Amino acid sequence: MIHCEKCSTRVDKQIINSKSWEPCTQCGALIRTDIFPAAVTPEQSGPRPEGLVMDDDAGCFYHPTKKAVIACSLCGRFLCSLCDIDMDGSHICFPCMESGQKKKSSLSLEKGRFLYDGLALRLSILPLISLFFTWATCITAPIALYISLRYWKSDTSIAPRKKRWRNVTAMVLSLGQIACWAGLVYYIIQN
Amino acid sequence: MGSENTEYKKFPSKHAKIVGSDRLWIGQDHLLLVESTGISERYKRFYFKDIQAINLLKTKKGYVKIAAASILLLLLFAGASAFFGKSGFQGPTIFFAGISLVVLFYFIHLLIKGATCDCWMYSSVQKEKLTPVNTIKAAKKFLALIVPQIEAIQGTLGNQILDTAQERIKAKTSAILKNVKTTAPKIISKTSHRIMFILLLILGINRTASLFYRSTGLMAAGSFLFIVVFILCAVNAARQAGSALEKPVKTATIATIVMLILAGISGYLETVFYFISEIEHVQNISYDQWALLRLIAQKDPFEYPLILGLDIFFIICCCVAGMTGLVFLQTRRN
Repeated sequence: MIHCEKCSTRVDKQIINSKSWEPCTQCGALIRTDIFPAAVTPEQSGPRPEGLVMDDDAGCFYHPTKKAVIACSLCGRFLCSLCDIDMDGSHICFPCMESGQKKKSSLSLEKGRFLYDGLALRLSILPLISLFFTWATCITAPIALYISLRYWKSDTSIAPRKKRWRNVTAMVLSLGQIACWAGLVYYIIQN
Repeated sequence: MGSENTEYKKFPSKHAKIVGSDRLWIGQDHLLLVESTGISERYKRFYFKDIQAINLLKTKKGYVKIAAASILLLLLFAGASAFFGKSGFQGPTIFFAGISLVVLFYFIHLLIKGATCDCWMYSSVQKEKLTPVNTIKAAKKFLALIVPQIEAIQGTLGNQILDTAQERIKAKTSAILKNVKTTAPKIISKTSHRIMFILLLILGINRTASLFYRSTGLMAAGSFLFIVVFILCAVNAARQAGSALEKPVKTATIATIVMLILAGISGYLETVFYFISEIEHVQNISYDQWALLRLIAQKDPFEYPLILGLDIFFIICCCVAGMTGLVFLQTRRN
């Protein structure tokens, strides 16, 4: 059941789904609690896999003595009701789900991403705006340029955002910094 | 493999962190929480069919931030006014004015954001704090967007179903609750708190008086009163811990302690400032505390904008804390 996040007292029935801010009966903090049918529906255990009855019954790939009910959408192996994972309407087996997570073949399985465009942008900006590490641009600018070129086509965030502007900004800034360094070196050599 | 819903709608509010930010995206069948550091992201999905509850708690973080920003703003303005108009290098004035402007923008931003809250989302396997839903305005928008989508999938919850579920859970937990020993919070007298807030008001009046009438006796009384209020405040803070005293009174006491510490530091700086300006005299009378106090009393704060600013700040703090505390004590009694 839902508790007040401040005093951990169980939320009063009058407060639940009242659609307004109400004081907690124990601590007086203003709370609002909305509960949905999923909270009160008793948890149901999955169907128990049936054993093989007929000789021509197909058995589960992972549990040969159990009756297969469906085939994996990815690898095609027969699965019993225990091994069947319902993923957004398609049925897959556990190894396929695991490999999909590793290969990031499905967006709905991804847990995180590394943003190369964000790294390139920060490498090109941060040393520039810091007062004491501007000298580091001689190292960070080529790295930022390399990252933005190397990972130009790599995936960015799952969430929609303006693509490539970070890469382009990083490239422009790092090229500018490299040009400045080249000019400085040229000036020193000339004088 | 399955339907990959890439059509996300951005939730307008976000939670800014020191590095990166947290943002919510609303998909066709789920909610996506993106925790970003700028160079990497972590995703948490909440499918509408699995969401059991949304719990909101109104917090005082916004008010605390506004109070802190306003104090900082006052101090910065005092700093800027102290250097303003003086001949020579205008660097300090520009510095203070520049920072004041930044803090002023932050202050306005906080005022626009308004009251704050915390939001938690429950599913059968997890409970997650949705950091982007951090203001009342954002919570209203969030509920207006999410609740219809959840109800479209799960349906609406009738009171009868809720009653049945509550009874079931009650029966399950009653046995456990019987064994839990509840300790009632101790009840303490509010007299010492009342005395403290009254003394705080007297201290504010004393400082106001000493601003216009420079007297050694008045200053000595003020210093003594300051020490008494500070000790009383510390004693009350220790007494009120774990007591049944109302939360606003407790908060006012703690805020008073913080204010007194700040006032003590500013008073110390003020004394040092006076001594530096009269170093020759101080060297001669450094053994005589009363003579030192007389020396400070002879100084006119209106000649030193920084000292005047600190004095006004102290008076405002004393009066606000004293009045607020007394009002809280009075209203809660009724």
